[in-house]
Amino acid sequence: MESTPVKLYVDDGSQPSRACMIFCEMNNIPYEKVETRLVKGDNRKEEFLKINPLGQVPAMKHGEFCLREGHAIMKYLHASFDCADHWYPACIKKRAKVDELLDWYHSVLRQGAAPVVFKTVFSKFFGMKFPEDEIKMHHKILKLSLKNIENIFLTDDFLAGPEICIADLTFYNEILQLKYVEYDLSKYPKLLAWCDRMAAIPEVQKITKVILSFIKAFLDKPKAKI
Amino acid sequence: MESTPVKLYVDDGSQPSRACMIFCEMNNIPYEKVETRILKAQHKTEEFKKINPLGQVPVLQDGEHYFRESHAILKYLHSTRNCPDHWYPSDAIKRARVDELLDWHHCFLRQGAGNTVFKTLFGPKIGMKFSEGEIEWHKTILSYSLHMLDSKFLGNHKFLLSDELTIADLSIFCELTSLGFLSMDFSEYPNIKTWYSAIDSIEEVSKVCKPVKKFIKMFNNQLKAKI
Repeated sequence: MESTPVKLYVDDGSQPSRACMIFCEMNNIPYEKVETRLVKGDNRKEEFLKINPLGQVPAMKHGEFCLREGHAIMKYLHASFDCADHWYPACIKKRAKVDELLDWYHSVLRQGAAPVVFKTVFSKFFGMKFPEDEIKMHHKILKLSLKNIENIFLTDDFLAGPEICIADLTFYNEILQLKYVEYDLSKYPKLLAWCDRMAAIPEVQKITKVILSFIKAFLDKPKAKI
Repeated sequence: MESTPVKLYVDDGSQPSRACMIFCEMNNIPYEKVETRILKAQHKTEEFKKINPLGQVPVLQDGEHYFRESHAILKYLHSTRNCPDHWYPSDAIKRARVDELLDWHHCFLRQGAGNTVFKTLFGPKIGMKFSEGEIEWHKTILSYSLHMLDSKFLGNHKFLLSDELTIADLSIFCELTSLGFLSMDFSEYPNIKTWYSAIDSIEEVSKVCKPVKKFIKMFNNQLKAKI
């Protein structure tokens, strides 16, 4: 069991950042939250680039060891802090099933959900513009992703079985972000029930409080000002 | 430790399919290659969807268990077939470094390379249409990925993380092989060129990549004949 403190370089607005924080909270892993605000360009500063030369959040520092990529961070923490097995099972077959989900997330869900939100809502803040057909492509991928989650993945209370795993954390935070565009999920009842299960977890509520307040403030703003 | 032969449902043209086959060859894992041709829509048949409802290759069958996603397959084979540690180290820090690269590959290089090749060349052949904006986006990501690979990830060791191969080397190498369809030669990327040649010269890699290289040559010759 590790006792060296962990630093997480995160932005509350970043889906994988929240997943890592929730993992730490739910596994009682003490961590220092180092706010690394994307809209302020904190991820582009020299100091941060020493931690992650790719300039992305989340990043982790554990002693002298620096690590990037949300899934890599959670797997590393799971191995280093002796966390409950269900998060990332030791049984090779069960672990492979979690790996299937984590990989699919990167290739599909993340390619749909994150760009739909970023390119519709946030690009303006970063002075970026994206063509309509590019955004349409992301919407298509998002729709396919949600159908797959509803019809293929959710056969139990959580994605890989009756207990939560690290894939549930990354998927949930990606879908939560869709509130920015008020995405209609009513066609996906199993997905909605799973979201409710996730939202009921106290540590999830604690970590997603900030992003939910951002979303509310964003949606309450008169459209003309955006 | 498992010793039953596995089945790999693969397409020689599929980058992650080749990564899985190369891994088996280099680790003496007996496997039955089940040809599942994307251009013949064999991945969309009812029969195939029973083993992978997502309709994608590669798929691994081990006894009565099926696994999709190449990185999950590589890790599973490594754990169950007594493969040397360097492929996916048991040390938490070294393993995390491989995981970093595998995840980056999915989000960046695969999004750039895989999509640029598919959407400009093969998708249209099977009746799919893609917009200009979409393809430009993939090309931007491809360019960024190659730059990152050459300037940030390569150049410190013979391979990505050390002088020994990892599963990340296989995955990323196979992605780059497909850029032959776009006649890319990596001349602008000296570190990629050196690393790529080192892997390309491995006997098992040559064996598995032979069909796709033949296809790339034929394809490029056809293109030249049309000009």
